[in-house]
Parts: sequence; C-alpha cells; structure tokens
Amino acid sequence: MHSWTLTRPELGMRFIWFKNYTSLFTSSLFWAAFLKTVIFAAVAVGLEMCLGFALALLFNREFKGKSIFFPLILIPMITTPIVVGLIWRYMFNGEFGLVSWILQLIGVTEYTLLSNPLTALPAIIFVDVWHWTPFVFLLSLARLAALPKSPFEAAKIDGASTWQTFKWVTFPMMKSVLLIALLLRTMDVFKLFDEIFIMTQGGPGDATELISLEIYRQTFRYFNMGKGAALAIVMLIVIIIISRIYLRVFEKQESVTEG
Amino acid sequence: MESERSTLYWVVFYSVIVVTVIFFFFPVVYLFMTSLKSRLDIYVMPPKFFFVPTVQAWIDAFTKKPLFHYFFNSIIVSFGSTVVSLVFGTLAAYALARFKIKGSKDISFFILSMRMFPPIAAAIPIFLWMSKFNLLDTRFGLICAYTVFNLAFVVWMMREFIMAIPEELEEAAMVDGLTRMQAFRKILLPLLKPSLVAVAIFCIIFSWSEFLFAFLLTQTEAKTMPVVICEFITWREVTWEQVSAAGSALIFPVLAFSFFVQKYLVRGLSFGAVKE
Repeated sequence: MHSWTLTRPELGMRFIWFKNYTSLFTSSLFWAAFLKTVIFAAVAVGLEMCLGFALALLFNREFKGKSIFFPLILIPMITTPIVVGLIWRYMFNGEFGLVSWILQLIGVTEYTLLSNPLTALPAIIFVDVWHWTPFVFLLSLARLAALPKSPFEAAKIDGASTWQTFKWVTFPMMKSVLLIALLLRTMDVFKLFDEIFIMTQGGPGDATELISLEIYRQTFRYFNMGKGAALAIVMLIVIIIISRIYLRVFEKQESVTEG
Repeated sequence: MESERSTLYWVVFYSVIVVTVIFFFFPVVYLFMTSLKSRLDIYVMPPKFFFVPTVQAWIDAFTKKPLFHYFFNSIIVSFGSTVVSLVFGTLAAYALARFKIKGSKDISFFILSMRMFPPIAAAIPIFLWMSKFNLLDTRFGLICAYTVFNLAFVVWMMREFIMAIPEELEEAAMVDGLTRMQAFRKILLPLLKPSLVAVAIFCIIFSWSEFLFAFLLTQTEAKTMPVVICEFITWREVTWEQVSAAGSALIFPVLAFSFFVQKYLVRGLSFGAVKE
C-alpha cells in the first residue's frame, strides 16, 4: 500500500492506500497476465491430468521391461527446472532445433515456436506438460497399485465390462488422489517461473507473461515495489483459496487411509 | 488373463509405451549428446544424431568460467540449509507429534502452507530484508532463504514419520530413567534414520535446483549453478555445447540422488498426502 520506487529514493515511501490495487485492477496488463495464467493452468494441468492418469492405467499391469521403462518416464520430473527450460529452448531453436526440424519435416512453415507470439504460449504449455505429466503419473500409479482387489473381482463376477469397471469402480476410488494432483499442479502453475524465464523471459512482447513473471518485471525491472507487492498479494489470495481446498481434501484423505 | 491377449494387443501396447518413454526420456539424453558435440555438429539442420564425440565443451565450460567455484557454492548452500532445516525441523516435528499443544493441527497446516507459498511473492520482502542486513550475495543469506522453504517440508514430513513410531518406546525408556532428550536421541533418532536421509535428499535436491532466489539474491560471489547456466544464455550468442555441458553437470547429481529416494518419491512430492 506504499508508493515506493527504488530508482527514485528521494520520493521515499509514501502511503497511498489502495492506489496500487486500483491501478492494478484497471490495468489491462494485469488482466492479460491473469487470463494467460488461467489459460495456462487450465490447458496444461488438464492435459497433464489426462495423460498422466492414462499412462498410469497403462502401467498398472505386469509386463516385461516395466522396471526399466518406469524410472525413465520419471526423469523429466526430477530434472532441474532451469535445465528443462534450457533443453527446450535448444529443441525449439529455429535454426538447428530438433522440434523445428520435425515441424519442417511434416510441412509446418511457422516452426520458430518461441519467437512467434501466437505459438509461444502453446509451446511453453507443451514444455510444462512434458515436465509434469510424470508427476500425475507417479501419484496415480502409486494409488492404483494400492487399491484393494476385492471390488474388481466383484465387478468381474457381476459381468461388468472394462469400461463399466473403470467408470464405477476404478474412477471413484481414484477421485481423491486425482484431486490432490490437480490442486498441487494448479498451485505450481502460479509459482512457475524458471522455465519461462529461461525460454522467453515473458516474451515475445508479453505473450508468455504469466503472473509470476509480471511480478518479477514490476519489482525487479521497473523497481516498482508497491505494485509488485500488490500483485503478489492478489496471487497469494488465489493460492490460499486453492490450498484451503487442498487441505480439506487432504484431511478427508487422511481419515480415509487411517480408518 | 494376460496370456490370452493377442499378439496385436502387445504390439500396440509396447509401441505406445516405447513412444511415451522416448518422449519423456529423449530430451535429457539429447542435452547430454549436445554437450559432447563440437560446435560444427551443433549448428546444422537437420540435427545430427551420429557424430564424433568430444569433451572439448566440458573443458571449455569449466575453464572459461569459474564453474568449480559455483559448483562449490551450490554444494555449500544445499548442504548448509539442509543441515539447519533438519536439526530445527526434526525438533519442531517432535514437539508437534508428541506434545498436546493447543492448535497443533493448525500450526502444522500453517507450516505446510509455507511450502505452497509462491517464491516470487516471498521474494520481495526477503530481498528487502537481505539488503537491509547486508546479506545480499552471501552464501549465508541464501542458506537462510532456502531454510524457510526446507524447514516447512522437514517439519511436515518428519511429523508424519514420528507419529508412525509408537510413543510407548520412548515412554518405556523414560521410565527406565532416561530424560526426554536422551530418549529422543537414543531411541527415536536411530529409528528415524532412513526417513531423515530421505527427507535430507529432498531438501538437497530442492536447494540444488532452486533458481529464483539465487538469481535475485546473488550478484557475483555467491552465485549457484542454475544462475550461471542462465547467464550462458544471452541474446547475442548462446554457446550451446558449453551450456549443455554445464546443464548435464547440474542434473547428474540430482538424478543420482533421486535414485536413492525412489521409495519415498511419492510421499515427498505429495507432502505425504498419497501413501504408497
């Protein structure tokens, strides 16, 4: 709630009530960043959930080579975020990147994904999906493996089809863990910074400027501490709401596993 | 049941598996491959998959910039903050798990929410404090910043591990004349050892990979590896073979460490919300 610009120390810290907030809510840049974050969260987390869960269902059986394939899939998740950004910036490079080469092979003309404002956001969503699908996969698989056997046997005896078993037996039992994965991932999207920073720095223009990058730009580029802090507070409120829901699910889950 | 499935089923099944594995695994391999390429082999289209490997890029990367110094910084900071968080975190977790404290559940959840806190939002106050206390660009400052986040994780995880150990063990020891601290040290700690190791590795991996704070709070002396990697990338020129070498050097320890915590991976990543 202060007007505080580090580049102009003679102005000092002035108390300006809610001006930082009102200027925030009326600025189109804020709403654009907010909208992009929401789109990013919806698409990326949606894809991660579907792919991760599908992959877990696929892996939930015995087959040869499982113990080799399984850890290989988990590698993106434990790769340092900054290196993830590095890898994909290299892959997306228009002159010698692997992805650009593949795109050219299949006849796409717009193959410099990261420097085109239209494709930059989908590209970083893609990277996020690559990075975090293994996380959803791991959580789902752990839960799938721990499910009791008897409901499945009962369903089989009753003559349920594979789809019916999935819909009425597997899915309801998986709901809580999927919800946990969903909430954790959504919170992470709001935190996301490293990968985007190294790949596009929010550009080209402001095509990939999510809220966390906007905070960074306001505070550490324009040295506008008050506005950056106001943005951070708004973001915090969103995160707190999500984490309250998370904790409620968590408590429920705890009582289920204990009881 | 599985043997009744047709050959076609298995062909499709394995192709899907192999394609996904390649999708997730190959980019990391490709990074390593790039670090072994010569400059001529990198700047070509189509990308080369077969080339004469050379370690020139590794030598260049480690000699042109004082990478060993930054590597050392990374090690000091990760281990420093891990040790501090483990000592205080385990004690706090013990208190939360064993004593009847009013609102201890709320305290636990409050601590957990620290971990969910977006670092960029915490960056502003931390940056201002650090500059006030002259801790900018020191390894100690960075250790403090990481401890905030690691501590939350340690408390949360250790509380759960301690609660899983029956309280009667310590009570019996205390009846036999040990003080509470002795009971904690001699009875509980040995039992917690494997969990402590797992939690410690998670903290190390986290601090090792952290970028934002390292980037904002350091300038020259205390820089850690992720920050240096970011510096390899300038708008003018990127020395891809060198930055790949530095990147590979950064993720190797993480991959190796993760191998040891496989068993705890799910628990650690979901804050114990999902148990194996």
